[in-house]
Amino acid sequence: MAPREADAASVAATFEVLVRPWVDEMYRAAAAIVGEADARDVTQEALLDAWRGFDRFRDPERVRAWLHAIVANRSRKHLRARRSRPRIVPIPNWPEGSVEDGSTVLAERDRLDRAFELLPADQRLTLALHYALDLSVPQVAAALSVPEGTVKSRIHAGVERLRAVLAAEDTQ
Amino acid sequence: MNDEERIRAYMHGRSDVPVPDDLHWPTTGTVPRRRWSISSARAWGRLAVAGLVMAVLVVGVLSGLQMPTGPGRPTTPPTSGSTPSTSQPSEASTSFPSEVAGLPVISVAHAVDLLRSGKLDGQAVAVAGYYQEVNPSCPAPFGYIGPLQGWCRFDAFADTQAGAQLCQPEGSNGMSCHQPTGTYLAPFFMSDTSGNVWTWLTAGATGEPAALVLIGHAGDARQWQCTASTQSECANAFVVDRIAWAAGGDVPLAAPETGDQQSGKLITPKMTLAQAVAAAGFGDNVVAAAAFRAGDIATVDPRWNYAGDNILWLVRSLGQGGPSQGEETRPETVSLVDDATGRLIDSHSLKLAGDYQPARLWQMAIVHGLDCCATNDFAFYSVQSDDGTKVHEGMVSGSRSGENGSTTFGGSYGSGPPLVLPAGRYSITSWLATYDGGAMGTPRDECSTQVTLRPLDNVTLDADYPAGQACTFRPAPSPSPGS
Repeated sequence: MAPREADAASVAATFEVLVRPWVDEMYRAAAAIVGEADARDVTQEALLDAWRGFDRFRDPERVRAWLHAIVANRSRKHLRARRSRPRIVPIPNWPEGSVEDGSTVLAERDRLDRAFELLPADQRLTLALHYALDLSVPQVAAALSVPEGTVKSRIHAGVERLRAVLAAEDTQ
Repeated sequence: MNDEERIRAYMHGRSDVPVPDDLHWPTTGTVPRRRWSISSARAWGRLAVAGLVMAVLVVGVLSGLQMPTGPGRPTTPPTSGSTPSTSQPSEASTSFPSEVAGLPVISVAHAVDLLRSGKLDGQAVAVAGYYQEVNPSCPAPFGYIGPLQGWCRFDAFADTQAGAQLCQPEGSNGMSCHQPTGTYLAPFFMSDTSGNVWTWLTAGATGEPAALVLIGHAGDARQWQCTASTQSECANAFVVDRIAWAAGGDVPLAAPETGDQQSGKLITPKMTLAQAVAAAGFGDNVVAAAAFRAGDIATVDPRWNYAGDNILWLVRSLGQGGPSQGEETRPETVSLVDDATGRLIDSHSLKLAGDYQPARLWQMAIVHGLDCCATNDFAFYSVQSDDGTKVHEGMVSGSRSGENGSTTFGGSYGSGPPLVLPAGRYSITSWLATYDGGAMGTPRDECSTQVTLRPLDNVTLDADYPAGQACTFRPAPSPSPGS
């Protein structure tokens, strides 16, 4: 028997087939967690992390959860690093045709942005995966490697914080 | 809009952003650090690229061919376009024989019907049709692929040439491929198959499909070497005993070239095929015969578990039936003949007994302090039944993977097939040794354990080797192929 080294091109092709379909979702997840301004960096770093860790990846059926976990980890690191540098908040692109007054909508979003960015990183990750990507609680739990109960409590805590912002806004 | 809906809308707004199309794709750099290799000749045979590397990958994807992203393929043929018939294929250009080896020749559609109804389990049937296969550049499988599971293979055995034609030339260098449509079989040509399909696929993927008559069966015992979750897929695999007719003429029975599955060395039996058949008294009813190392027999029929390097002939022969009895299938018997003496060692029906409920024993080893994968160090296992009979001895099959300072043999990433053993109590021993040119070095760091297997058990044994120390058995890391 003559064991052979793996064909690098085959590994790259496999990575391409498995990961490419999820790049858009990775980017959107990153945007939801860290904001659009930093989503590119996070996605780029997450792709690199995925490639570097591809040798340890075992189950192609779990590729989506695996990539979510990588985006979450990279986002967490990014948020940690960002605490020490100035923050640039982009002006959001609000969809056309909103029936609400634009200034009100922008104001609400701005308040929610500020509240969201004050949330602990784990709550941000959880809310982003659950509400922005519409992942179920079990899916979020799998992506973040935490029990479902933890996901529920983080969602609850995060929603309460954002709800408080909305309540204050509604009373104005 | 309630608060939760507002929060959901807000979160959607955060993620509803245009995705840049110029993200740097990371694979243009170096490949991941970890190295791995696949030691199974079968696996590498499937990974072999037959000149279709990226052309098929790229053009195939563009033209709708679904490149594999995981194990599996349609071994149970699709229902669309099925036209059951007892007649031969209607292709005007080919005149198939009406009978081969005492079996009436039937169409693919008819064979599919028989397969679906379970009438091919352990029964031989002769099927005429056109065969084409494409071998794209294959990634390594992520996890265990059973011997009768498709991995990265696109082929079709269909009643018409058009039904089997999978690729067309496209442009100057590429080709356009598609998955087979209509009713087809996806036959498995195994190490025990008499006849080499490549002999008749002279024009490659874009040539005309080969007109063949195949003798084969379903319900092969190797289904037990698939995982429990894929066993039914493997049970429905159409396994070719013999290519009986091709290129307008009968193909004589021939013993396929076989290799020692551990060393890769060619098996050179003392007896000829004719001598083996004559010695065992099978006469003209033999449909396939091949010589194997005794320790490899279980890879062809897992009901026989032997250890040792002596050579045995595995012979499949037809039972009573056939056209004179108005039957289109005939039961097969599989027998073992000792190459050294010509003695018939054992035989049984190819069809599995209804109460056959063995256990699967998977093996792996993790060796710390051993750099992967340049050395000639390998992990070995032996298995002894309660009566003292050694039922297996050999290298941990499958791939080895790891990095500097750690090597894993087998395991979920690249396990070899499990041992398929009757329920009972077994003594297991694992050790490390060098392996060069088919010769094992002095065993070291050995450890032993005992395991009791119950019917249908899925047990993975992991021998863990601390650097330079004797191993200990421990629960296999999850996921393991047996989990």
